[in-house]
Amino acid sequence: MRTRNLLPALLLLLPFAAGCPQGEGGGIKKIDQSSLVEVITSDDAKVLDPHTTSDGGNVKVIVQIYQTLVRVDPDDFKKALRPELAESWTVAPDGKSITFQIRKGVKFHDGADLDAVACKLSLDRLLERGFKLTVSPYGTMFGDLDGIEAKGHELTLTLKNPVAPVMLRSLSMFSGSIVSPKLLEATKTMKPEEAQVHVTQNAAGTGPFKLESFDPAAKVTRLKRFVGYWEGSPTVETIVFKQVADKAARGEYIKRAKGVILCDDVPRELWKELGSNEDLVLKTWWSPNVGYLGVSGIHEKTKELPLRRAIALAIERGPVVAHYEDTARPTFSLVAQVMASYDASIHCPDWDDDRAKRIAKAKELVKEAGAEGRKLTIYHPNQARPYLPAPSAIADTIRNQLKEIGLDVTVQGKDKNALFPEIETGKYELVLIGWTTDNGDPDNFYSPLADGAEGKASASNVSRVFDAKIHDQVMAARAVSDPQARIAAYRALEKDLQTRIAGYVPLVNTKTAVVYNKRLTKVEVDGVGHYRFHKAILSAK
Amino acid sequence: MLAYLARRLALSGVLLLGVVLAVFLLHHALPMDPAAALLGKNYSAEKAHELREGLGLNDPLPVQFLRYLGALSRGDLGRSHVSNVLVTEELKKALPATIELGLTALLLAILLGVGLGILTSLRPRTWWDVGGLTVALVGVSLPIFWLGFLAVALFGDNGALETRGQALLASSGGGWFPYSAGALGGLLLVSPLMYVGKRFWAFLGRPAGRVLLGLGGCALGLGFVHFLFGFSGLPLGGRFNASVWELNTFVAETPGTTGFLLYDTLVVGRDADAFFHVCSHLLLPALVLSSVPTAIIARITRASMGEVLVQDYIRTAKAKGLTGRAVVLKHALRNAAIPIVTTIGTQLGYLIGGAVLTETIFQWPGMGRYVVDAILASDIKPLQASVLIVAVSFVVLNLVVDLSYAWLDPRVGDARE
Amino acid sequence: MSSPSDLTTGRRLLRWWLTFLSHHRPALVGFVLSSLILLVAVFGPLVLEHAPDTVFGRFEPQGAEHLLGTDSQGYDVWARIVHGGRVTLWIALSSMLLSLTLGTIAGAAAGYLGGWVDLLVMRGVDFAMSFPSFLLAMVAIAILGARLENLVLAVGLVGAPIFARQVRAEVLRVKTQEYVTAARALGFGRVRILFRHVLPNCFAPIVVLGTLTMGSAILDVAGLNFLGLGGDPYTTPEWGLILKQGWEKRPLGNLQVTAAGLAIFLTVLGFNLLGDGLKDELDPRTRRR
Repeated sequence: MRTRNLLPALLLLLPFAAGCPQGEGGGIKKIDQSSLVEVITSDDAKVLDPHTTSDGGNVKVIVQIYQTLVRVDPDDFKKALRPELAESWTVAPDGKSITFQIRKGVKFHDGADLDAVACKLSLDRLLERGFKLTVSPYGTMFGDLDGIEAKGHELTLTLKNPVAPVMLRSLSMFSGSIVSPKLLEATKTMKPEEAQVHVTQNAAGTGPFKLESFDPAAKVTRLKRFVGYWEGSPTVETIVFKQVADKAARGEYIKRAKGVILCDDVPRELWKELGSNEDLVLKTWWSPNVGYLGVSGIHEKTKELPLRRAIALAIERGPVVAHYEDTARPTFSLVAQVMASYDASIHCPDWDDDRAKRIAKAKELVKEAGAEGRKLTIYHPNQARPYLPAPSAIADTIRNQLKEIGLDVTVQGKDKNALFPEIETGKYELVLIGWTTDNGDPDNFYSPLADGAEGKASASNVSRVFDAKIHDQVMAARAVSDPQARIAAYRALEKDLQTRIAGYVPLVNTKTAVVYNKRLTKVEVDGVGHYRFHKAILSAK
Repeated sequence: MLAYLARRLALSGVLLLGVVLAVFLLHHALPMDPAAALLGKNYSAEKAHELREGLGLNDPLPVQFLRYLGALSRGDLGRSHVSNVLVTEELKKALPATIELGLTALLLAILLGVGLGILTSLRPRTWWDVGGLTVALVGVSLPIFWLGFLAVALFGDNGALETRGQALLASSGGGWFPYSAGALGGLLLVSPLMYVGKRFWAFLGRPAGRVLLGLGGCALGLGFVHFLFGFSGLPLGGRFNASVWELNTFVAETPGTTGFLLYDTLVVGRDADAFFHVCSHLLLPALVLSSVPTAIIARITRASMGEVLVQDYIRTAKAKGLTGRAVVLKHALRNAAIPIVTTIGTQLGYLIGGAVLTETIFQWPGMGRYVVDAILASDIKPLQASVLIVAVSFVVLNLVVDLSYAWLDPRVGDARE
Repeated sequence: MSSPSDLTTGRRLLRWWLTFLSHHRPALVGFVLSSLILLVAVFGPLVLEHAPDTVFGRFEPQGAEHLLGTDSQGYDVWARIVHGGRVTLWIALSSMLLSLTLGTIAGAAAGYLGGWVDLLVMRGVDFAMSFPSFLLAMVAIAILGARLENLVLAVGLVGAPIFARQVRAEVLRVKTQEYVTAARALGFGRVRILFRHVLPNCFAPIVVLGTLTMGSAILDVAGLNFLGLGGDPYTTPEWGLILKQGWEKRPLGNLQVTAAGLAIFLTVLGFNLLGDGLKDELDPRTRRR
């Protein structure tokens, strides 16, 4: 009887017995904590195929694995482009062709060699020549690419229009990443969705880190250093990308991390506190982004131009900016304040009046449109974006402001994966959203967001109105090279946009922050918010 | 009995067919346009029509249903349109996560619930009874996401425990004092049990039992003190810390692994450290999830035991001179088991529903989270597949419960109309 | 102790109610709790100092001006909790009544008419119950769209089968009673017998189930809102939504989470205590003594 009483106790000890050292073999590996950087993000990675994604969570990982022909200057993206996989390049005098000298002795993670043919294969895939893609979010930015010629280590691109500088900027984006030819050849026979998964799970680029384990269910991606990296093996051995979606939990994680971390979506209310933490480095900078309220020009409820102009007039940016905890400023055009072509004069002159006057005018316009008491809905992504840290709260503030001019507004959050593809179908009248440029040029805003031309408008172009005059202005402005002339061009464009289409209301331009341990030095953070670890050094405690 | 079995099986078959049909129709009921998702910015009415033609969405419904059945029989559940990954691949990871959490919670609920139920039924109309009933009532009335918040705030690794521990340690003077006080306190705490629990745990009356209980009390007290001073808290979410353990690689690459991390670490990996690591992640969500089933099982056990304990055969058993424990466990519990078993069965269904909220709070990568994400992202195939899986397992579970009910009580099969 | 079905006048019903409460202490607690919350929800908004959508400073601390402080929008949290009570109880009540109506009609038809109607309804009930109810409500929301008003429909529809099953069982029991046979012998129509003789005698279990369903409906509605499958977090105050906002703004929103959670908990506890008490009293199987 007594022995039976002891049985449960023995059962409890079983795990200890089972855990007796087993020697080598079946044991479960632990990650070496002394050479590990944990990257804490709010977005998780689901797709690691650079040609078929635009999602920020994917891009963070993609830029560690893949590289592009040229890249923006990490210190200041407004400066000249820097060589990366292309050692040098020359632009033909007519601006209609670019010749790259591809770097020699570069190897892909899967052992393939880099040459011009490999580069051509990736660009062909981006343009869907001989490949089929599920989606091609940035494919249109490369629409001017005509012929691609590869000979040894020389790659020549011919363009349909004289837009070589803009094309070079586009090629510096992650979409222009060069993927291993071995990997791409294998996908040629696959269905597009199989190909995307295949590229994701077997990701092989030329970057300093290679994919070690990809677990989208657990929202974790682990990268290991690529010893054969052409600039020399990185010293950081492992990078773990981990999603902590909940903002409060992310704040706790940063404050209490035991190992070395880097967080790229730091809760704004913590910036002050973390900035004075002696174990952490907080880097903040004004990001080339604009958060805006998109107003559809083709939706039944907002098809009247006066109503759209009224909405733009009624919005007060101060209370919106209050949600950003002193880390954002009001903005009045799609030229973000940090861009070379920015000037305070680029905005619609209607907005210079004081609030009372604007409200009075807006009320008149609403009356003109016959839209008093109209029921409208502001849609917003459920997930925080860099330019929208608290989407539903900001939407609610705007809702209160539009109430003042007699509009009956409700707010509706949607998952970004459901919202973004549907914006393109013109389903929503008002969408709170934003845009960050990847190449630092204002045209990267106006072409996709303001021009409704067929096949050019991006997912975030809510208005979807095509206006021939606007289209010509956008096309003309991108080709102007003189800074002052360019400012003048965008000033005229912005005024016409707001009076002819009124398809968006620019709201804020925000700061971005990256926080990481002091133990981590020489991590490279560029102006568009990408960080790289190829030179990073981890010092001991 | 056989007729009952046949009837019950036939009913389940009909239900399963209905479930499959409903899940198929779900595709058409949902306001999600697969064409919009696939075409994105290239969307136009003609292209959408073309695509629907290609996908076979314009065919008559019966044709589509047959095609759906065909795909199901091949084990093809489609792809997620967000990641384009096969749904079966994603389910392979999500299902074990939920089952592990659910079964652990159920086990906790059975242990706590049946224990509490027996305890209260043995002492009706005492403070034990009132206390037990209160716990049960509170358990079913607590919003589970709020309980999760409280659990995280109180026991989570969020700094609160460390701050409090340091303050306490400073005020108590430090050194051996807090630990000896803890051991003494634990001993004092359990000492009433030696007398109170005489009837239920008869062996506690004997010297060996007392020593065991005393040691347990000391350990409890020491553990509590350790918890107060040194414990930084339980992990806030996830199944394991992927920055420390290469468990996902281990599960993906080692033959014999199942995705049930408790099993994989203990039996396949034979690694106690990893096992306890997984346990520490499992404990808080499982406790939170077990709150409602614990309460319900406790109430049923109390009611059922209450009916049985006044029966004549219990008195006879006692009169034969059997000890309290033997009577309770051998005679009473066995006869009170039927409603308890049924309740446990029905709670499995609850665990699937409750897991949705628990998994959200603890970032648990299971089915519940998978369904919510699919709904929020308008991802049709994962939603269809997970609803199908949950409903099918629910039907099968109910069948098993009903059959075991019939087996435990042969009258059931015959008594039905 | 007689059941209320024997009593016809309001006075006798009241006396029965008072006796019931006076000897069943948990039910008394539940009754007091739920009536208090009901009173606050109905009359509280009339005497409140602040409206739930007046904008004050953001995150003002709790004090005399703002009992529970203000939230990220500058709304008064206490005002929102009180108004939220109205919204929450209203949603729960409507969805419960929807379940009750649908379930009673289906159950009564099944039990009273029998035959193929019974078969059809009961297979339907079996079918609906082959999904966990919370999952079913989630799918209903996915079909209807994530809006506050759709929560009523989703939770209401999902709750109906339980009522149907219970009412059917009651109708089957009552159908064989002598007074029904007598009515039939007198040549009364089927509809009249159903509404005048059968259904009134099924009243007790429906009341019990209705009270208990109030509790579970509040929990389901709050849970769906917490998952983001309900309304917009700020447009209408609802307890689950208030809790969600606070949860996202931890640690500043901790007080908000605690208050909203406590409100949900106490309300559900009230209804559960009352429902359990009524069940003890009215259900012939569990009645004491």
